[in-house]
Amino acid sequence: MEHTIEVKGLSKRFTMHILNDKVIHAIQNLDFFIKEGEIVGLAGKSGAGKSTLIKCIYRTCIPSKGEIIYNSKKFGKIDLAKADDYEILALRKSEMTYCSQFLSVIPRVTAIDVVAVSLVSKGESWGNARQIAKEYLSKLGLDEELWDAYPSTFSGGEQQRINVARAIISKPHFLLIDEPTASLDQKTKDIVINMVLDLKNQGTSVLCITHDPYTMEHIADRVIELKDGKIVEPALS
Amino acid sequence: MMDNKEWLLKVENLTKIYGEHSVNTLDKTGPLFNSNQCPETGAIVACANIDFTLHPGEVLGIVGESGSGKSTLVKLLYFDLMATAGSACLKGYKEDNTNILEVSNQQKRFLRNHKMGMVYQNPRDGLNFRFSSGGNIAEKLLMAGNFHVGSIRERASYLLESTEVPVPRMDETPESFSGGMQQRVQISKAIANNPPLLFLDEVTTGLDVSVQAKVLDMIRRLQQDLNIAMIVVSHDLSVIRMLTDRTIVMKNGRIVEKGLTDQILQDPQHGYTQLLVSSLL
Repeated sequence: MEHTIEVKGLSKRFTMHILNDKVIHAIQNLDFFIKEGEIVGLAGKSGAGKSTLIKCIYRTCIPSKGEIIYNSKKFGKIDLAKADDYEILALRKSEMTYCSQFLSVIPRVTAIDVVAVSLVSKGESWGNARQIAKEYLSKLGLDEELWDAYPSTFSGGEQQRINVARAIISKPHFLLIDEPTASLDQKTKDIVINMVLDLKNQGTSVLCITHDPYTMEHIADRVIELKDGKIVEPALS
Repeated sequence: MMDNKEWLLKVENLTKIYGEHSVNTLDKTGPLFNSNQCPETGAIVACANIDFTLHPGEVLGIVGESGSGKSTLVKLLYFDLMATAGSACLKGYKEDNTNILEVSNQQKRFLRNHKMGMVYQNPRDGLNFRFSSGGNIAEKLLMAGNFHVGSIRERASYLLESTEVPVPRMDETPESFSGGMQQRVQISKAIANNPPLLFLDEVTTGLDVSVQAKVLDMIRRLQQDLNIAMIVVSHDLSVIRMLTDRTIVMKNGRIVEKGLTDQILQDPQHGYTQLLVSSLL
């Protein structure tokens, strides 16, 4: 099967010019791949470099070295480490989404619209997009009273559901997801896990960070563990 | 590989210098020297060697401290100021490669009236306070060649309504409006002629947060619904984060960094941007 993503020799170091050019090696020389329709779990302690890795792929961070070969549905093979800003924006709009750990929203935008806009930017009408957004929020069990409210005042778990809905509603080809179940109850956890598995069955490849053993066990086809910015090789058994 | 040849505005080597300058002026000013002033001649380099491209419907942010040249940049493009050097081309105007900074004043008026809109920090710069709010919008429509009184009035009330200014008050002058309302009238006026390109210069500075949120929300909706390309100048990183996809960071009249807005905020490369981001509350 084709690889959706192939990472070769990826390193990221942060140089802090305002701290006398202090250098932090966040990830070092990573090699791995994700097959089409595969869910790879990313494990490791806080500070191991998990989020940095995801941000390098999404290009919120600029990789210092290495290649990130992404097999785009629309554009063919493209190295995300070197793609220009417009190429990255086009991919984010059409096929690669990122569900971050924390929701960051624009004030005065309702929960429904926060979710619906992912579809609108892909060309869906507001009417249809809102309809589909309602279905997702309802599936995720977000209280109907909150749909027309502004998410900045929501609880952690409520915000998390909006964040998940927003990232998966457009059925991306590649999903990057950071702690999707962290502040959710068991029932909602299962719903989120099933929604991601649903996407996988439709061909989506996923890279998922989680600290939660239950989520990891039920979601991941394979687990990569990071330690001090490097991949921990599984012990021979 | 991918078709990203689509562009709306192309700016190259845009430079504005006040005062007598020498051949060394550009080499002896800028972020490296932490100064805009030429040590030889005393000339002030407001901005220099600015290069960027804007795509249709794209929102580009420009951040930087006071005096970094960000307002100068948009004022040059809107012909409020004359450039010392450089070029700007607007897709769809003449042969696409015509330098709009060098066309006749009559052509500049045409461009302003048909292709551009500007919203200033101070509503007094963009509105005529002797005219009613509706009259201000009508002025822009008349300039754009729309002479039918009925349709002008209709368009004015539509614009005021969509920017949440009470339509029954359209015959009052902006003088009696709050700052936030004045700003929304100014935005209505700026977009009255459906420009493909809109400049926003510190539009939320000085407004209280609830009004600020209203104005930002409105700008965002305009962009989504009308697909207007915008250049948003602000020293406020949260405004930039909310509105823009790409950002340019300026210091001492130069671009020190440009990139995706989330990258600028989370993985800033230049020392100045790192200082800016780490100072964020």
